[in-house]
Amino acid sequence: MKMNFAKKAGCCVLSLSTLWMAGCGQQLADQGQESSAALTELEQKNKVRVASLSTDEYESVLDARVSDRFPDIELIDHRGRDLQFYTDLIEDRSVVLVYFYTRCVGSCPITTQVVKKLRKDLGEVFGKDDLVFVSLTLEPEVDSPEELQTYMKIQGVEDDSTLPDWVYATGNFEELDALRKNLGIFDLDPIIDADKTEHAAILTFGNDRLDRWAALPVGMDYEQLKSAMIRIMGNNPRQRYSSAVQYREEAMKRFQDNVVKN
Amino acid sequence: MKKSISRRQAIGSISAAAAATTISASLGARRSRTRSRTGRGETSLDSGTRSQRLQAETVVDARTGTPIPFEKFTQEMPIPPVKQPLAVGKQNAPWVVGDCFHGVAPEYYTRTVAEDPTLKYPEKYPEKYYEMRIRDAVGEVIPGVQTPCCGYDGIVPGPTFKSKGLEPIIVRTWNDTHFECSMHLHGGHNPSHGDGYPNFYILPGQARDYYYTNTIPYHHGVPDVGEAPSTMWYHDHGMDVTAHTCVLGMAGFHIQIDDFEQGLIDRNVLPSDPYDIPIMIADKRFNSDGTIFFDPLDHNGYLGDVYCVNGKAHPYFRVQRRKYRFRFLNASNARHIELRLSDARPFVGISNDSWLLPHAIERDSILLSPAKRADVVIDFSKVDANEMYLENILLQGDGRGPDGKLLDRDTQIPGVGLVKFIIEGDPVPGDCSVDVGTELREHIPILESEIEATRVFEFHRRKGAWQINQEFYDEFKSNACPRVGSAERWILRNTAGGWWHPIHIHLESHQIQKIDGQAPPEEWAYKSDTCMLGPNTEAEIFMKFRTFTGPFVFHCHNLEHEDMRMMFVFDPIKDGPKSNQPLSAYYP
Repeated sequence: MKMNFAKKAGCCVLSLSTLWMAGCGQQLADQGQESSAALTELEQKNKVRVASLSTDEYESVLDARVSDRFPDIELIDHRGRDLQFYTDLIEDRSVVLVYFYTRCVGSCPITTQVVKKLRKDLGEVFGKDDLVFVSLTLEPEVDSPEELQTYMKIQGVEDDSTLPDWVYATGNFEELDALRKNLGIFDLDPIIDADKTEHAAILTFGNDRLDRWAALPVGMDYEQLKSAMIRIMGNNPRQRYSSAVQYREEAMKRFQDNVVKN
Repeated sequence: MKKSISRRQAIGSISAAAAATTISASLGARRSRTRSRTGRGETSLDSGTRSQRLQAETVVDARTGTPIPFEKFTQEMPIPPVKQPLAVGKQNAPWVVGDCFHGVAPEYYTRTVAEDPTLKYPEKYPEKYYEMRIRDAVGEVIPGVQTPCCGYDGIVPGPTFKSKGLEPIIVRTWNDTHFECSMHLHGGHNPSHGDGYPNFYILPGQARDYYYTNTIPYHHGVPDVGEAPSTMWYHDHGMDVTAHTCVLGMAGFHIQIDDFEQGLIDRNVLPSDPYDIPIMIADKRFNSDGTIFFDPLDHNGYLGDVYCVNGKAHPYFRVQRRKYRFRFLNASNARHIELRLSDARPFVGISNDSWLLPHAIERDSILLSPAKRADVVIDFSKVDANEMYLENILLQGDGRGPDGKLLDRDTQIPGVGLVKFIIEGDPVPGDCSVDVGTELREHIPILESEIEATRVFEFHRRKGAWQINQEFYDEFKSNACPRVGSAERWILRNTAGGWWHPIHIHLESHQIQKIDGQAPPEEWAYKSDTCMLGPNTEAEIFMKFRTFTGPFVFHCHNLEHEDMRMMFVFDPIKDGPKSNQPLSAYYP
């Protein structure tokens, strides 16, 4: 976990810290069990959101869904499979979407490296079947399934069955372009929008089951990107908030350590 | 459950019979899909029904505008209720302060000034305790249509807090939603723990004790009464969800009146209750089922076509023929507004953001970016007509910002009517004395000689996202560490092409020195907490960093841009000024 903190300078900050802890004091006593207890409590409070998604009671919450706006376009992936964008890739799971093109010499290779790490790290959290990574080309006229295969080899992306699926897909330009605009990956300035070298370096991701979607820039801090993605896409509070609860505990422990040392 | 109800009601309210048919068809289709949600195998049937639904969605969805016709100015504008405390005074505390999942600020125990820990910050009144719950609710925004919202105490806008200057209050805020919330008191001067740092959450089901000191900083050892705020507002600031939660309604007023302002009221200079009216303006779009349209994947900035004023769409408000103080707040995500009265009568401007001006000024129109406030006095005793409209005359096509430049905007008269004032009765005798030129609150300018450091922040767009100095928000890094107690010069430079960025800086007011090298218009010349940057605009501001150590944030208040990490951290520290340091504290 990337958590660099300055050593506390001066007793003022220290005493403040002590008192903040005193404020949270009662939970500190049984710190070992706190994490799971806190998470269980969170889970209970969220039961209706997580456990009963398919019941009639919460059906209505699912009525207006973000993914309803995604066209169910036909795609061909790097293995030559015919896929329906929504039905085969999005429905009922968590998904990470990236726009790229094989001739890109700008941000794509960097994005690929970040997504490779995420594939491994998020796969451990979500399990390989509940998460899929989808790279959609901006240049379907160039990027045939064979091109995509070659690109994957150059980038070191493997069809690894122990990891979540990573689908490189191409299709009809107009349809892909319409989908891109639907996903919010465009620039309001048509000149910038048409310039592929200026294409967005953002990851669009979401959980269709819970209808939680967001997008974040690839260039931000990796650990924070990862924890934000888990927080937004996570299937339950245990997944979503484990890092937030962990940060809280680390912060409290650090304050405690400082007090003991000084 | 509640959405089904609202959907049925909404169907009734739609005039086109064809539209209603397609909506009910879509409902039926959804039911069958939901039942087969468990496995991924049975998709062939689903894809068929989904395409039917998608056809229906083109009717229901508000992507191209709110499809619910309604008559404007038929609902009365409500005034949010005043939040009542549970108890006053330490001996009556209803719970142990800090005994909740997210605790309370360390400053609650010390109450010392960061720049001089031997000194306590000023307090005068016993502390007050409040409890508030953030929860889902259903409200009637458009007449006859039920809309699921999310608000403080389940109302939109949230209840109005009214506090006295130098009166500490503690608000235990529970989060009963599924969002990760963080409540920010916008325009206040408060410790970092409860300032709404985006990652200092209230997790779902948990609570945080927000400690609002309502104090003021010291200026050369004397309390700086010029810093006492008046019109503040609180809203959600949770990382990644701020845009969504604010559209759903997580916002409310916090009005603080200190002894000096109370004196103005007592001497009948300024109008007071019930002639002191907060007005929250927020634009929204509604789907035909009454739900609020929000697209989490639209990062440019949310624009609505229905203006909600204190939670009602285009309401009316009955007034007497006398002076009223209106506290205007633009609580929209990306919509800038420029307010004007339909008979072109000028406003008497008395404040900018949280702070009263040194003297009342005449303002023909009032430009408000998201998050900006302005208090004005309107004298209805001089109006002969029985009706008058408050209008927004600013043109804005998309989330980039209004059409035109900051000081040369495209407007349209008449504009969009937001509120219809119905003026009743004869002129009221013994009215308040405030008028253009009336002296209000003293202003202590930050002097060039006090400046310890100059920092340049460049706001720009690259590859589908917005950055500050080529960087994104990092929750663990403080980009600027001023020396606590010092003053700095910040150059805020917008090089983002046609984009507008209202830059909000937490902790304290800042004083705008120059906009594009020129002196700013008078209403912005004193204290602000949100500095509007038009396209390719450069602003020079002076700011002090007093009383509390950080971390605090500053960010674009186009909330979609903020959620996309257009945000920086500053942390006033003892051995500043420095840059790019680890945080000195963290209160998750």
